[in-house]
Amino acid sequence: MTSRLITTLIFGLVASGFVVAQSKEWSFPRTRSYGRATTEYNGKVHVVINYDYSQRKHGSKWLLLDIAMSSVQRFVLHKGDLRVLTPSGRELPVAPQQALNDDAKGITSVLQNASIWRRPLEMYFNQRQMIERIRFHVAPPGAGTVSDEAVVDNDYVTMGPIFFRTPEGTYEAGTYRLEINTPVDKPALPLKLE
Amino acid sequence: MPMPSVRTLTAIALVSLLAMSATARAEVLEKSATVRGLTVHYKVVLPTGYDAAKEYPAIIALGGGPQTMNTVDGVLNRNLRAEAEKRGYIVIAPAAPDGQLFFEGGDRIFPDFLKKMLADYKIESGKFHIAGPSNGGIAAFHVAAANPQYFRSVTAFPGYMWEPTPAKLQAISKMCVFMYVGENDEYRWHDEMKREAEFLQSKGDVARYTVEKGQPHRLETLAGDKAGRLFDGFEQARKSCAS
Repeated sequence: MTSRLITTLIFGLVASGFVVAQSKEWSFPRTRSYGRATTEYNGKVHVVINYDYSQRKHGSKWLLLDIAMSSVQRFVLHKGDLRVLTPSGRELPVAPQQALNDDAKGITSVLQNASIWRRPLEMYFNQRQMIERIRFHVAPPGAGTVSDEAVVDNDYVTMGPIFFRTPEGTYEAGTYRLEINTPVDKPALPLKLE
Repeated sequence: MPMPSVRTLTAIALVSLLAMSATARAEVLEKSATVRGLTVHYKVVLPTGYDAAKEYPAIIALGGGPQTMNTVDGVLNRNLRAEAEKRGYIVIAPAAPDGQLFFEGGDRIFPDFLKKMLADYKIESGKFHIAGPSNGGIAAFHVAAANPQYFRSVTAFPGYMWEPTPAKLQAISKMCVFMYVGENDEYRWHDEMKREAEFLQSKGDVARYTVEKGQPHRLETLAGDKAGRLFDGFEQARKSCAS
């Protein structure tokens, strides 16, 4: 009787620990939502994302989100510093420019359809009059120069559109996790696809 | 040194009180109210020489981006305050309650919030103008369409009707509609704004769509000493769009 009780207690503790660990992994501290698809992270780095279009339209391989950042401590943001984790655990890097070039028609269609859903994000920042563009992509292809780096500091709002691509061809509904690995902070923001 | 008389002291006190009162009238008031269970923080610009017994035209101003008090301050300082004080307008600028944007959950403070403002101030014809930049412009259209009996004009700089339907556009058809967008606006709202303006024009409505040459999303051509252009629209609405 006593050993069964102990075993039950141990199982219970392990199970609750697992739940805590899981919820901790997918919790999003220091975030706040504005409306349905705009989320702000306020830590050592200030990040705002908007994904109104992708929240509703995620039936293609492309996931579009707009991101804006500032930081008291200056750093260089690299394209490889961002990733999206899917509910099934898949990790998606920022799409390479070549992938956009290969599907110029699809990207143009996304941009056209998304135009009325996209939200300016500089208004969330006190530095709103000074904009530094993130140029991880040229979209539509051929419309500018790509740079895999962008400076983030306290003088400018560093902002731009980011495309992710899934090999599964479509995104299931659920909560995704955007992670940004910077030398200053490790922001994580939710992406809730409906 | 002789002591001033009681009459002199009273006169000084009265003059001081009057001076303080006049100064207070010219300031922006910061207020809050509970509307449908939500705490709404808002600012009110009263024109110079404001007289509570008189009627004034009034503008509901909505901020861009997160629609917080920070962006409310932005639209007041950049676009509306100075000209309103000069031209004799009341401006009422609420911040989104609990971070709920005015074209999403925050819209439920209307029309109760408007009714309260009509009770607190004497508003010309019992109708407001509503205006805002970016998210504030989108929200202006949304709120006006849901409560058309309270508005005589809508101004978005830029902005458009969120999830438009013929019924929603029809709802604002008795108002003057002014839409401004920067030629170089990177969000490319032009087509949607133009389409909606053309729809309203086809119904015989006063709807003006203006592309501001060389401007980005944030329009300098309607800010500071150029903000009078927004008020020219409100003036037009006072003359020709009253339903």
